[in-house]
Amino acid sequence: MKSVRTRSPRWTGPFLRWIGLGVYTLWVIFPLYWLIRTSLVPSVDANSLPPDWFSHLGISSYQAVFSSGAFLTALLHSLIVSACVTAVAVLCGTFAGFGLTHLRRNVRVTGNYEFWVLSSRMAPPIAVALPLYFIYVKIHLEDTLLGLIIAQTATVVGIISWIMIETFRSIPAEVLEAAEADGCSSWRAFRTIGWPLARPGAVGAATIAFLLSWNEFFLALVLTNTAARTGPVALYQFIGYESLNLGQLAAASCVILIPTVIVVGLFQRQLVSGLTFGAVKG
Amino acid sequence: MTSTRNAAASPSRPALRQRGWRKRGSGPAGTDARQGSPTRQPVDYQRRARRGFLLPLTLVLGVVTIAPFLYAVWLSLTDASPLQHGTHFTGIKNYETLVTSSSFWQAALTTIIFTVVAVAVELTLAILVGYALHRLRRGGSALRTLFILPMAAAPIAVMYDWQLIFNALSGVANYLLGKVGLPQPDWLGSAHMALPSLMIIDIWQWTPFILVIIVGGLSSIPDEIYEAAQVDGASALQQMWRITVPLLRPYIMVACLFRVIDALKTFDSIQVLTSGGPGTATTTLNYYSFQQAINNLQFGPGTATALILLVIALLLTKFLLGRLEKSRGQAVAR
Repeated sequence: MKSVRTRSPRWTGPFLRWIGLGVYTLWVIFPLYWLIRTSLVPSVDANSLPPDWFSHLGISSYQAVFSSGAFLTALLHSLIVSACVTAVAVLCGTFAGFGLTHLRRNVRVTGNYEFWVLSSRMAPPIAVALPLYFIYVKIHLEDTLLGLIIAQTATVVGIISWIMIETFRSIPAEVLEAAEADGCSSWRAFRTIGWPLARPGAVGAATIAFLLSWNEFFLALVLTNTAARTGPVALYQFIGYESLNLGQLAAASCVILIPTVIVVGLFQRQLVSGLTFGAVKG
Repeated sequence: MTSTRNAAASPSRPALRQRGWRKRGSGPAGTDARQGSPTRQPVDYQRRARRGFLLPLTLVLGVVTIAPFLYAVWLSLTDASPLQHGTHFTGIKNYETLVTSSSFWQAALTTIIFTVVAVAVELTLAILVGYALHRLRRGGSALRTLFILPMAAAPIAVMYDWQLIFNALSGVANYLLGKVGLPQPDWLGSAHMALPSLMIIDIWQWTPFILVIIVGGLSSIPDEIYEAAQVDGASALQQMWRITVPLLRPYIMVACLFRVIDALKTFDSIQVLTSGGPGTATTTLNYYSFQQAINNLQFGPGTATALILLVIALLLTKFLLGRLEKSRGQAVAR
C-alpha cells in the first residue's frame, strides 16, 4: 500500500489531489447547504440579496409545512409505497437470482430472460404510465396506493433482479452442489445456503429499491391524484400552485430528503457493493 | 475463463449469461450447462424447481411490463384521444407523421446532446474524483458518504433547490458570479443556457452514481501491478493510461450503461424547471412524448414517440452489453 501512495515523489500530485477534492466537496455541499439554509432563515429573508448566509435560524417553516397534515399524509403514502415496492422487488429478484444461476438451465433462454429483465428498466415512463392508467381506470386502481405500488415495482424490479443475479453468481457453484449432493432439495439449498450468502447483496439491493421508489416522480404524478399522492408529487404541487412560500418549500424538500439520507448513511457499504456487482467478473 | 471467451466470441447472442458456470463447465462448456455431477437431481425436477423460483419475477414482469407494452403498441397505432369520440385504427400513420416532423428530430437531437455531454462529463469527473478519493490516506470513507448524497436526494427537492440557486435575479449563483465580475446568465430562462443548466444539475446529481462504481473498481485493482509498473519505471500518467483505465473498463461500461438509459429518460428536471422550454430548447424525446400524451392528450403520437425511444434504448443496451462482455474478457486476459 505504502509504496503505491508515494509513487509520485513530487509534492504537486497530492497537492492537486487535495485541491481537486476540496473543490468537488464544495460543489457537492453547496446546493445542499443552500436548501437547508433557505428552510431555516425567516421566509421574508429567504430570497434577499446579499443573502443571509446563516443567521436568524428558526424552524417556523417546518411548523408551517406540517400544520395542515396534507404533507404528512403524502409522506406516509410514500413510506407505504416504497416499503411494499422494496419488499416485492427484492423478493422477486432474490428468487430469480437463485433460480437463474444455481439451477440447471438452458443457457440461451437464460440470456434472453436476463435481457428481458433489464429491458423493463429501459421503457420510457409514458409507455408504462399511459397504458397502466387506462387499465387502472377500468379496474378502479387509479389514484390508489396499490396501483402505484404495482407500477413502481415494474420499473424497479429489473435493476434489483440484475443485482441479485450478479450476487448469486458470485457464490461459488460448488457450495450449492455439495448441498444438493447431500440430498438437499432446491428450496432447502436456497434457504440454508443460498439466502444467507446472498443476504448482504439483498440489503444493498433493498437500499437501491427504496431510493428509487421513494424518489420516483413520474408514475406517481400520472397515476395518482389526491387520495394516493406521494411526497414528491405533493412537493411538486406545492411548487406549482405556490401555496407555500420559499422557506416552506425548502423545508418540505429537506423533509423529503431525510429518509433517503438516513438509509444511505446506514447502508452505504451495501449500496456501494450492490452497485458495483454488475461490473464484477463473475 | 472459457465461458467468458465463448461469450465474447459470439457477439450476436445476449452477453449476460454463462459467467457463473465457468467453474462447472468442462470441455466445450458455455454452450450447454446442463452437465453436472451424477449425484445431482433429475433434470426435470430441477427444471420444475427453477420454474418455481422464477415464477414471482415472471408474474410481476409479465403483468406490469408485457400488458402495458402491448397496450402501448396498440395505442401508438390509433388516433386515441379524449378530445374526440371513438378511436380509429390508423396503422403506422403516427410514426410517419413523427419521422417527417422537424420537432421530432429536434427533440431527438436535444436528447442525444443532453445524454452524451452529461454522461461524458460525469464519467470524466467520476474517474478523476474516484482516483483522488482512492489514494486518500484517511477520511476517504467519510468523503465518499458525502459524495453519494446528491444521488440519494429526491429529484423534486433537488430541482426546487436549483430553481432557487439558478434564479436569474435573486439566485445565489448569479449573486456570486456578479461578486467576482463574471457575466450573469439567465440560467433557465434563455434558450442557449437552459439545456446546459439542466446538464449541470444532472452532473451534480448523477456523478456520484458513476463515482461509486469507479471507486469499487479501483479497490479491486491489486497494488502489486502498480509496484511492478514502478519498478519498470512507468510514470504516473502511464500508469493511469496503461493500467488503471483498461482494468476499470468493465466498471466504466456498466456505469455508462445505466446512466445512458436513465439520461435518455430524464424527466423530473425538465418538468419542474423548464417544461421543455424556452421554446423547445429542452424538449427531449421523453419529454416530447409526455407533452403529446399528457399536455395535448394525443395518446397515439405520444406512445409512438415513447416506443421509438424504447427501441433506441434497447439497441444501445445491446451494443453496450456486448462491449461490456468484451471488456470483461480483455480484463481477464490481461
